[in-house]
Amino acid sequence: MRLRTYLQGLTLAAMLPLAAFAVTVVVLTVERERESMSQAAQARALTLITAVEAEMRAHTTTIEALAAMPSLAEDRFDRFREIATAVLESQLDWINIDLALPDGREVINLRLPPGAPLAPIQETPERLARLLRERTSVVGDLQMDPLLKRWAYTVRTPVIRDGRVRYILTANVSPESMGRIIAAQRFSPGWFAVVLDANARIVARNVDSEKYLGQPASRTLLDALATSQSGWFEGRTVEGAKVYSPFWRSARFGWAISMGIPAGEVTAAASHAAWVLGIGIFAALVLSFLLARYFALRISRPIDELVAVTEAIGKGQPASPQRDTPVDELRTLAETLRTAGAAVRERQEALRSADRAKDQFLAVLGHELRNPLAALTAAAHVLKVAPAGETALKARAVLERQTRQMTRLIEDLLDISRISMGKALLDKSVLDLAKVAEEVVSAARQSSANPISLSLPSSAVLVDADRARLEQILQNLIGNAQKFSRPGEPIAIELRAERRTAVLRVSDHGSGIAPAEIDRIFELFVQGEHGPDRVKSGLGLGLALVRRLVEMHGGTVSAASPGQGRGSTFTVCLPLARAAEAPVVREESTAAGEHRILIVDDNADVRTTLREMLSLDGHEVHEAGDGATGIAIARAHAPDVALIDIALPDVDGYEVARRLRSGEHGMRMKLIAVTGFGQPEDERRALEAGFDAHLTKPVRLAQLARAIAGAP
Amino acid sequence: MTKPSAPGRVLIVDDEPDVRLSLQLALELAGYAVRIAANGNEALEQQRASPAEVLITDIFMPESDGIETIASFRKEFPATRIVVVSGAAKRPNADYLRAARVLGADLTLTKPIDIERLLEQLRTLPPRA
Repeated sequence: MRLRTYLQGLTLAAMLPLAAFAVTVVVLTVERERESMSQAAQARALTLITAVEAEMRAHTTTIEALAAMPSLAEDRFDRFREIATAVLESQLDWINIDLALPDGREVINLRLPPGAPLAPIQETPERLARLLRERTSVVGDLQMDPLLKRWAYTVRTPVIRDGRVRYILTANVSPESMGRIIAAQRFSPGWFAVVLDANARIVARNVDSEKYLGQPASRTLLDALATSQSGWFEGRTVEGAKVYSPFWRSARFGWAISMGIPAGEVTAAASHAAWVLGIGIFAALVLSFLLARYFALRISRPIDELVAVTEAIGKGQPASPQRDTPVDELRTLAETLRTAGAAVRERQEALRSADRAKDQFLAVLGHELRNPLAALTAAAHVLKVAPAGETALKARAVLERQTRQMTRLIEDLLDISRISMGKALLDKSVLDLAKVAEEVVSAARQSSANPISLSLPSSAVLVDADRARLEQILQNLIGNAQKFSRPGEPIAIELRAERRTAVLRVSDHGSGIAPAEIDRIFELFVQGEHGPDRVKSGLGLGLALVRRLVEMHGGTVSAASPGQGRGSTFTVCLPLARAAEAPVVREESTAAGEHRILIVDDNADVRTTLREMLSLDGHEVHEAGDGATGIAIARAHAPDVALIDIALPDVDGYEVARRLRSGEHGMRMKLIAVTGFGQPEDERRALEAGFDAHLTKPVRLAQLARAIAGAP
Repeated sequence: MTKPSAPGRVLIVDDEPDVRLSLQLALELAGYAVRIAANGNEALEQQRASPAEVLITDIFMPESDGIETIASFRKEFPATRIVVVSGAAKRPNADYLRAARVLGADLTLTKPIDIERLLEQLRTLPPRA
């Protein structure tokens, strides 16, 4: 899964409970909205039924007051008729008053003249029985008055004399009274309100009252009234409109009222709340999703980039992240990658540069090897054609010079490779650098086209160094100065001893060094800038060798030049040897079991190996690279054991043995030949020359220890 | 020492003293009259003083490079045959050799030179128009 997707999912997950809660709130709100609507509607229904009951109570009170008239008690009907007519006129909705006997026969009808034939009153037997039994006023159903041809309902009350019901007094009331009550409620347009008689017929309605007068109530309202005195239901009006309806039936009179609130209005209120909440929640969800996306991108984009950069660096391509990020960890990571990218770039640059230097080196190497070869080939040809005479002498001189030059070139190459691989070892001893300089300079003067001056301090400049390497350093620096000077331009060499440092300076007035080149000239295969018309021989090895050799001696070398064409100065600093390191002849004997051992071998590697092996055993070890040095060291240090190679550069090992034997401590010394010659004949020759033992290379430690243990 | 029937005059130009000396000795043994120069300018001066039939020049020299020397000789001494010797067979010298041929070198060789073969080639080098 991608990080961005994951982060967005995380946001949604965090929002999910919130959304669920919000939906619950919406549902509850809709429910409550509907509930409060219903309560308000029922409250209005109660108001309406109360008004209806009050109206009826007003009618019953009036009719009961009329029933209590003394004239009626005294049967003075004329007088009663007068009073009743006055009452009928005073009551707005009353349309008639009549008086009947308890059996229903009418006695007086105000709408008919006295003496006119009268019809019996029409009333349900139950209501009539109740009136007579309970002696209470009753309200009848809506009926079409047969005499007046108008809709009306009756309000009847018993007239009681001497404890008996003598008459039934009735007022016929127009349904308009109820119409006015509904109108007084001021219902909102679209709402319905209806008043029903005990028979559930419509007495009054706020809408189309005339049309539905005397009609039965709607099916749904009839069902509701059949089950309960009051309540709230969802149904339809007589017209078929969908409504929510509160209803209420009067316990006292049996009449009922109902209201119809359009379903749309009820749900609209609830759904309005639902919409507001719903849209709010949706908007919040969308907003938080977008915010999450924004922040997710601010994290995931840099990470995507870091991934790409890491992959690129992994493949070794230089890359670095560009995008900024607000996250500290990512910024640290980006910084790290930037550093890594820069390192990769640097390494590649270094590799390319090394590559260029190597190409240049190979090209120059070809040239440098071919020139001596050209001279050698031609000289060889001359010697073949003319083996003697002056021409032959010249050719021989060419051969000598060129082989020497080639040898030096190859030695330099091998040296560089040895030093590069860490295989070169120093054969150090304390020596006078002034003396070395003197010798090298005097040799160089013999074949120099440039005058070489040498300035030395009055006292010796002692350094702990490898003599051959010191000579090489000096020769290379002088050679370099010659190479970049025109014939006749002087070269100056100066040696000084400072507090702890020997300072050797080689200055010339040659072509100098461009400032940009100064830092690079000590690098391998790098040569000073030269134009196409001025090709200098050499491989760019000399100065690289100088630097490595000086560094191996714990010193430094630097170059300075005032600019191209203005000469240059090379300065070598080497640490001075401390006085304690000066060679002293040691007479004190070594501890028991330990020996002072001299190794004479021209192979530095062999010397090192032997020295390491012997030092481990606690022996004191001295080394010499050739026979003459070996003999000198033996004289100075008086070793008790000497390990001598037979094939030495100056004298052979047999000769060294003979000379040592004839020396001062010669007979006390144990001489061991360590050679590559392993024939019995070789061993015989060794013993004849004065050796005590003969070991064949490679020498094993145990073998060596045994041979030494026999030392005096 | 037997001298060939048609000895000629050769001018050798090389900045490396031993290279020109050894070649001089070899050619002198073969009967040629040899003069030497360390660079192109010197060579031009020598040639003006005492013209040679054949110029043997290194492609790299101080003062003026071999290419320039060839061009100068071709212009000033159109009849002189030119042998160009290069220090290295590899680039960029290979391109110089080609340039030398284009500029009118009669023969291009790579160091080290097979002397006997050079002598043979010198004998059969066709004269320039």
